[in-house]
Amino acid sequence: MQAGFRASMNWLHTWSGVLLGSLLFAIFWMGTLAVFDKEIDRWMMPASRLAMPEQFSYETMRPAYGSALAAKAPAVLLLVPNERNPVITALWRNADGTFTQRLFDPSTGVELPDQGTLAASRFIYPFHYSLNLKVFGLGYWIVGLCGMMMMALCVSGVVIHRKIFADFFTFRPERKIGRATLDLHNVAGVLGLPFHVVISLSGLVILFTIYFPSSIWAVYGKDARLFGREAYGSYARPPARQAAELISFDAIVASAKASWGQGEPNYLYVFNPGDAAAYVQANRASDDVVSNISAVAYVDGRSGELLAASKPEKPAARVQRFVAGLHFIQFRHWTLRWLYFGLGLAGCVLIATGLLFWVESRRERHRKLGRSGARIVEAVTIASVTGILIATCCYLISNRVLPLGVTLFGLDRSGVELVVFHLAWLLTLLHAWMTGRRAWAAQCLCIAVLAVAAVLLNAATTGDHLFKAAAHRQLWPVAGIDVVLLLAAVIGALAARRLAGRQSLAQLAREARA
Amino acid sequence: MTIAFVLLLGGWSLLAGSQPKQFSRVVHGRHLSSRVRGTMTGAGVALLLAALVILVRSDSTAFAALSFVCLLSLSAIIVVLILAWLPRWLPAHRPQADSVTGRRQRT
Repeated sequence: MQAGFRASMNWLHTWSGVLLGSLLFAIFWMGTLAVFDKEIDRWMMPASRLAMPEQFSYETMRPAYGSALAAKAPAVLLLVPNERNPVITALWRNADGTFTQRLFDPSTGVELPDQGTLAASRFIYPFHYSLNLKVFGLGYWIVGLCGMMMMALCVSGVVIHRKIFADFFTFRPERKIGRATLDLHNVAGVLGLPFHVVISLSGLVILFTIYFPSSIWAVYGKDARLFGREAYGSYARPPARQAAELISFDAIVASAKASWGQGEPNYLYVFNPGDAAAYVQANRASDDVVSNISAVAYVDGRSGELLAASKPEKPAARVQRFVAGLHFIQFRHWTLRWLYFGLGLAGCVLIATGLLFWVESRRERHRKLGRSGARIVEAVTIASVTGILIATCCYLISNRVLPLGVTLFGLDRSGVELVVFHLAWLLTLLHAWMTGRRAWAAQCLCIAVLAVAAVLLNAATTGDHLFKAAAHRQLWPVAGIDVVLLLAAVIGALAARRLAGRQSLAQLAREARA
Repeated sequence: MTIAFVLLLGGWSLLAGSQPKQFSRVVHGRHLSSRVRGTMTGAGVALLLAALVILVRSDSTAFAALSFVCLLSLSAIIVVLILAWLPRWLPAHRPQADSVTGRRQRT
């Protein structure tokens, strides 16, 4: 580490960025996509492209409950349909530990055909906060480390930026690529600073029970249930081992709503289904407030009597809920959703340009000294920036190409989609390692081709082409994804053209020097 | 929301224009007096605050504050991008770039 405060901050900024930048990009990219996870779900699960009924009866959820009952599930989570997710979703854990998800029509309650995909809600979204590494909770800890380093990068970046106000609006794309990259890094970092700090901090606050468990242990010992009861008003009781019917879902919701007042539930969690001791946890949706409110009611499954309800939260819990709500964006606010998407992309640009600047400023020196550092970082950077975009496009394309119910090498359809994603990502790394700098242009062009292919395949396999999707209200999520894909294709093609031009210019310059 | 966004774009544009470095990038050969600079800075800040007031009046405080912070960042980025390419769109003031090094030629 170098002497002096600014120098040591520079060292911290450089090396934490180089070491964790690629992972940070993957987390930011998946988080940006997760802003529209329900819309991507509609795109990847054509059977779920339904219109919400004008009058929804909670009793329509009865067949969904019945399917969990038939599977002898000890508990079933029933997601209430809404504007963004217009299907009834039933989720339960099987005896072997695996999860089953079934979708039902919100108008008729009829089960929809299995879509054979994890789509965004069960792949992209969990990737964002756990990298889908569930072993020992490793993914949570890696993402937590990246979140803390992101905050450290933001602070150290401000410290080392000597002309933060003078260069506040400075971006000079006409300058050499190194200078232009640093300008873009500074602009994305400084202007997006409030968002980047808040989103990193709130990500850590959401999972405080994992990252800072000692605060709970200090008060409650290791009794997590006692903490849950006091903090969230949770309730539990064992099954009575006596069969009984569950009362009407409308009656359950009416009883729950009496405890929290205005607002509809976003889910009903039925414990001990089919048992005389069945009870339902209903949670109020947070669609009209920023805060991720925790208004929970427990209703008896036989009598409809209110068993327990969450108490008004204390100030610390309210702050935690507000900060969590900032990150979860469960509210119904389309402008803010798009702003989050835009600023998420700005975060991706910030990370990518930081890595690119490191490579550009060391490439020649490392080449002359025979070091492989810049080459390794460049290959990893290309794979983590353009590579993950290619992998995402391949994931979407495989979703449209694979027929429903297909199995390959013992993998079901959703498993094949995941293999395609990870294989495509790995191939981009190999390509980057083998072709070096030229891989940028080739992979940008690949993104453009794949994004257009995804749009065309969606139109060919579902008939919901862009114009039709734009004309029907319930297909707007599909139209939105198609438009974003086409924009990505245009940007990818322009970037490929520009990079190819730069590469030939750089080649000319090298030849002129020789 | 749209009005607030337009005000933010205007506010950032004025603040950017009040910096001699950005001013000379767009308007060549003109001097930016300290009086004009001060006026532009004041007007820019006033427009940014006006956007906040409009957002608070049209939405709940929490949503307004969140929208303001997000719009503030995004509108500033848009202004930066416009400023980056504006000299190219104004042919008379286009900065000359060396075809190989990409560095702007001194005139």
